[in-house]
Amino acid sequence: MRWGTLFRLPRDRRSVVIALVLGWYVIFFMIPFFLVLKISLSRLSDMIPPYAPMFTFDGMRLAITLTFENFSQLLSDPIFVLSYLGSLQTAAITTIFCILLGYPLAYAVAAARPSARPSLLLLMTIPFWTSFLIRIYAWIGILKDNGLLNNLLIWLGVIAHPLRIMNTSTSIYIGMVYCYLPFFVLPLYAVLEKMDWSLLEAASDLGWRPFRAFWAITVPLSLPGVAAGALLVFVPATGEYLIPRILGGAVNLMIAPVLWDSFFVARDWPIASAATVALVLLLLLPLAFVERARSAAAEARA
Amino acid sequence: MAARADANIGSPVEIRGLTKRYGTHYALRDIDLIVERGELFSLLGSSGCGKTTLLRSLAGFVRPDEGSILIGGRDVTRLAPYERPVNMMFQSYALFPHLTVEGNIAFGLRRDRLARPEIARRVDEALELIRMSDLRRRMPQQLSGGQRQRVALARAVVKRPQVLLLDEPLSALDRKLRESTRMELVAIQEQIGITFVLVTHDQDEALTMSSRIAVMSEGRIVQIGTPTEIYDKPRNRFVADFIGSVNLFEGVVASISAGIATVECATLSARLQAADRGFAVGDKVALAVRPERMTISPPEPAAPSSGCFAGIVSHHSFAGDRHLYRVALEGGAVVQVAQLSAGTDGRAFPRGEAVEVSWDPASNVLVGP
Repeated sequence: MRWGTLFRLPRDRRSVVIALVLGWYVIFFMIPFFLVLKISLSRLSDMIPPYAPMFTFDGMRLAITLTFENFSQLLSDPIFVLSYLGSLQTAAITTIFCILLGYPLAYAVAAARPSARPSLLLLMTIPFWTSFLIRIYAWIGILKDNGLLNNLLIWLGVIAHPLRIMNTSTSIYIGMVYCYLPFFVLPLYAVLEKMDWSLLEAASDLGWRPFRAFWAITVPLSLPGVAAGALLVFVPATGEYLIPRILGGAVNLMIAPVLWDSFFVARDWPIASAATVALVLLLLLPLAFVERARSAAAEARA
Repeated sequence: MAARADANIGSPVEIRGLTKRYGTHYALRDIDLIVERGELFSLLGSSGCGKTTLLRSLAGFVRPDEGSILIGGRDVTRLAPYERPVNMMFQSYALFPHLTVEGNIAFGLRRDRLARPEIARRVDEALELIRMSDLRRRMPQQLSGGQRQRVALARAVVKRPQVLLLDEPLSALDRKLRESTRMELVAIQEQIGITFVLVTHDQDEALTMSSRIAVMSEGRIVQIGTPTEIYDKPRNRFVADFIGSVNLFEGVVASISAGIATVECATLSARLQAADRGFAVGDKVALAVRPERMTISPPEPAAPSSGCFAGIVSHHSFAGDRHLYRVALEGGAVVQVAQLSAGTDGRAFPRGEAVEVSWDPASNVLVGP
């Protein structure tokens, strides 16, 4: 009843929705972020928690201790710089493969008979019913030296000796693309599905062969879906922890395992926090870029 | 345009025995049709009659099962849409939302291997034709419905097709705009001299715009003719009923002499005469009489003359330029009568009034089943 009356008030409804979203954002993002930011500006110490308090009150004065040492150390330590770059590179390559594989997939589903589309989408989401961890472990069985893939290739006579795939960057890429592909396909499908197919008929009528018409009409019109999907892949892929840990072995391409080790192995919370803050800022960049491009496009249209 | 048109001898459109089946349903049945150069030809019919399938087979979007299509004397039956010398204006207009007005119009020319200045010149020409030169940089979603319709037209004619196909070109416009756009479309067609084949379900549209009309029903062409032929000499009951309103009197041919058939009409309890159209004595036929051919008048005290039927007004409505009556005749038939308001001095026959309905026997048209 109370919800009913709440939603019947049109003027309040908007602010309620905004307040819910804002509240979620403050509680689950802003507060944790500022906690981490605070730690990143503190000094390492041997106490529990393992960092010196930022605010000290000796009964007379309040002292605030801030240090940017952690951030400067971050830049001077090659493992952080390299794994940052490695994360960006891995995420970029994952995104590119997701686009190359996901575009035809999304297109095929959108072009299928309307009655067949729900089952095709279901097929794509069925893997999500199994635990993420188990699915990644399953890839070990496929990719290892005497795994399914190598045995199949040897049986087919394609190769004589097993390929070294497991614990290389290749196994990381395979796992990443496998996991993130649906996140690219679904938003793109949503855009393609709404596309007016008579536009392609019009292009054909105006003398354009199907393949050229696809590049001139379908591709530009689906770019918002590609951008949304690429973002949904790129941002979480940059911070991916499990896949490089499980499929990468000693190969360390990415920042998230490094963060884990700093927090829980080296117990250097301040530097790990600094690295986390830097990662968030790094991820805001592509977001800001996409957002700017989108508002520019919206402005050009208005 | 001239070079391309002159290079081909033969009618812009020639269709022979075209048939299209979807499962067991016939969308088109054995269609034969010739459209002459410079015509504005309409395919008229209600939804599902096959008119859109026919238009789409001309464009190449529908592959017929049997028969052939010749455009300018060349067989294009097996050609893809992008290989045919025809262009289509889509019902939804199908303007490319990511291209400007200019970009939309130039789109088809970009594939024709034309030099840039030539493309620019032809786009300018087309923009002038639709009087939208100042809106060339607008995006489609910034245009009104009427402006979109004109851009769709320009985009299709700028390629100088041998035939322009128009799928319900006015249906997306509101009524007022639709009527003014009809005349504009006819004027543009005369100016550019391209043959138009247009699909419509709107009989007024077909009558006012076309040089000839093909009335379609259940995948067949029922009648082809000029608007006056279709209206005044409908071949059968379907055409008579579909175009405008009509009074149909069922009857049996009693005799035929000197090209005049005498029909015994049970509902009128009278014998009426009409020009024979190849019927035989004993055939079941109907006499079609248009409401505006009938005259309504006060009852004569003297005995009614022949061709004059007494009745009671059962319904009256005023449509501005005319009064519309429904009159229950003594024999049981109910007829519609239209009377021009001019000359009635604002007087009308109210409901329940006894009247007489008469018409010139020359207005009788004999139609088959």
